[in-house]
Amino acid sequence: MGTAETPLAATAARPRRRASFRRRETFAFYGFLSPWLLGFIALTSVPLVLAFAMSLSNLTTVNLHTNLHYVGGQNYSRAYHDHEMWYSLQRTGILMVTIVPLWIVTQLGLAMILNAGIKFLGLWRTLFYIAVVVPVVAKAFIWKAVFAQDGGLVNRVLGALGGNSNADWLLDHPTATLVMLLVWGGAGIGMLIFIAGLRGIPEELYEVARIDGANATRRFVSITLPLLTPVIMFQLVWGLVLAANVFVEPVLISPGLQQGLGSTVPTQNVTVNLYALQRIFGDGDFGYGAAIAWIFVLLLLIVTALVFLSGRFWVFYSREQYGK
Amino acid sequence: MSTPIEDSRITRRELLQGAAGVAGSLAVGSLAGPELAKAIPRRRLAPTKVVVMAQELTNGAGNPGTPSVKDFEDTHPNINIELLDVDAAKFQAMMAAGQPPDIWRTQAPLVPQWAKRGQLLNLDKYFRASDLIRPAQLTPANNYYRYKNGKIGVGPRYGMVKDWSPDETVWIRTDLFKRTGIHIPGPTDKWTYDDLWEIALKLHRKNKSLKWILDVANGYTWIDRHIMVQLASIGKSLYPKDFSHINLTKNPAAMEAFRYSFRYSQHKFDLGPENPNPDGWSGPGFVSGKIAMTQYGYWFLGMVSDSGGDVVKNSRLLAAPRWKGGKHLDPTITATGWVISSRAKNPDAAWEVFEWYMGGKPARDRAGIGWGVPAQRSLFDRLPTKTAVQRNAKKTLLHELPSSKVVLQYNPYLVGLADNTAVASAYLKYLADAAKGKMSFQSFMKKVESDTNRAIKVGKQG
Repeated sequence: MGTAETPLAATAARPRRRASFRRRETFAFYGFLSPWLLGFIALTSVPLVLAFAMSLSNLTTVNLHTNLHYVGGQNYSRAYHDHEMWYSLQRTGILMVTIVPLWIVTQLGLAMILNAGIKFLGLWRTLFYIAVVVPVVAKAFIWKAVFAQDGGLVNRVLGALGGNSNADWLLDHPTATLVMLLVWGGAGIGMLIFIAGLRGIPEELYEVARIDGANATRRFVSITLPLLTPVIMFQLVWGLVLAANVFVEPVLISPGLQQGLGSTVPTQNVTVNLYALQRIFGDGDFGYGAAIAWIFVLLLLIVTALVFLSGRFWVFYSREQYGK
Repeated sequence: MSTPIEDSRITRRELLQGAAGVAGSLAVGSLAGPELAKAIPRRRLAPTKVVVMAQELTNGAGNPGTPSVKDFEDTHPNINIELLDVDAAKFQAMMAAGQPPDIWRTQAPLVPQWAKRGQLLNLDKYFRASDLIRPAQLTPANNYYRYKNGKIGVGPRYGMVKDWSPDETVWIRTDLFKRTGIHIPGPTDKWTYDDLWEIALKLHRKNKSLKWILDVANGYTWIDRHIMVQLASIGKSLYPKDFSHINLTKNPAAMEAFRYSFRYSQHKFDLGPENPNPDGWSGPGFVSGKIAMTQYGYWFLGMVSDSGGDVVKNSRLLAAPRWKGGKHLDPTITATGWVISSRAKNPDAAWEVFEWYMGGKPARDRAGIGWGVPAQRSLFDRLPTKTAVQRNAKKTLLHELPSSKVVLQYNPYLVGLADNTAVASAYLKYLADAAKGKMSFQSFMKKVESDTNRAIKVGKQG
């Protein structure tokens, strides 16, 4: 019996140990996750729900104790008929479709330069990345100095080349100026992610392609791009969310920074976030501002979902990457 | 100083001290007349905290105009002041959540919105009991902190100015006019807005390198306030009596006043978004000789005096220009001061802080440095007169005081905290496009009207 029992006991103990290991792993997983999870619940989920409740009310700065009441979908209906809200959505959309491709191309381009084994790699990497570590306020002020109508660097260069040295970039071309600032300021982080992606591509693939006579363009199109599509997908979703949430930079590069909350931001640069912010903190119209924010959240969720769905057709996930 | 009101346990020693104090108070009260007889019973406050959002206690610590909170806490050991940085968004959120600071700094156009909705503490009983602030001594600017039945300037007092100025006066840099042959009016000379425009135009022709000729309405953040003064001088207004909307495109007098200011933007004489100034306000530009004129009140003397040297020598304060066909008016359009929340957790303690800053040593110190006219007439003899510019400013001020009594009726439905009202925000929003000719003046005004009416509609919900 004893000899027969030993293997049985051993086989029974193995699943128990495995179960206990899984429990420990699960516990560790949630333990490590909990700081973020608690933060997400307290600082994101609860405010989201409260903002939704607010969007169904007529809350303003001054009426909490006097005339606060439920207004149903009135704020949403008002937003539907608010042409300025639609215009701000359109401007946000333009920023998204302009900036994200520019970001991806710039970031990938810089990453490829740094991955090509150039000299002074550290120096170049620092130069390309430095815009990320410069605070946004400093970046905006640099931009204002560069694009100033009187004595700005761009106008001086244009003047020296015989061009128009009196262009008012910040007021006559506000979106172009903003896009350039965002591309310059945001290229560094994505560049690092692309470098990591490029270094994850097995060198053997390139060697085989070279032996088969593939030139650089062919190697880029047939190896680099397909194997980078998961990184591109990540950058695309992340970039869309970042571009959708732009509102600090337009305020900072507006000509009358200290004249109230975004009062002098050119209308072309009033993103939907900024528009909602102005309604809340400019007009004190909390209910309406919250409704606009929620409309935008829903639209952004739809766009993100569509991008994810489109991934089935163009993102190449190798089995190895997921350990299958 | 008046005394705190809230109760706490009293020791035998404190009882004896209190008895002596009461006896002394009665003696002084019998000499001081009926004011003190109405005084609230004085007892020691329980330890408490007062939350204050006011930049005058946080900015420029150590400067003559910035009182030390520690000084207050040393003499009021049971009251701790919690200072909040001035942050419009934070304030709006605190208000919307029903948890405003106990005391906050504000300006005249913003008082009625809160007073109308019962959000400010009626301070009448405290003023009556105060030894430091005497209602009879309060200058007319303090009337902006009174509100009753839709009218500013009457009814209970909800706050008071920390200091003020007749704000339509004009500061001028005389050195920038040298060799131009332009006649500059004297400190009390009668002149008009047309004269001001002519001076700006001539100065631009004679001194092409000067980028900023005149700061109009503090970078337009006070544009509606200036226009309200101009309209008041000819018996007109921006709003109907019920404040239900702004009267603009169908109000020729208002259109003419706005058009006058707009001319400065079209010619890029101003500090608007189409001709931005990196400092955000005209103080630094004026003292560095880059801005020739700025329409600020007596309070700007503080900036001029602090700058010393050539600035003191070359600055002059002129009386307020008159609007076409109007009478001479020069009220304060800012009336910066403090209010106490009706939801203050400890109103008596909040009043202690309020009274200390408004009537105590900080007020006496402020009176002598030129950063504004004292709130109480009794402090007028402290106005500085050491330098020529200080004497000039005092002369202009005394000339303007009789014209400063008018109380403008701001719209109580325009809610917010930012120094610029919804009208000014809308004006700034479209100004650059209008000045560049991307929209007509009529369209510009229509947009300002539409934005303002939207804000009024929102404000009426409360």
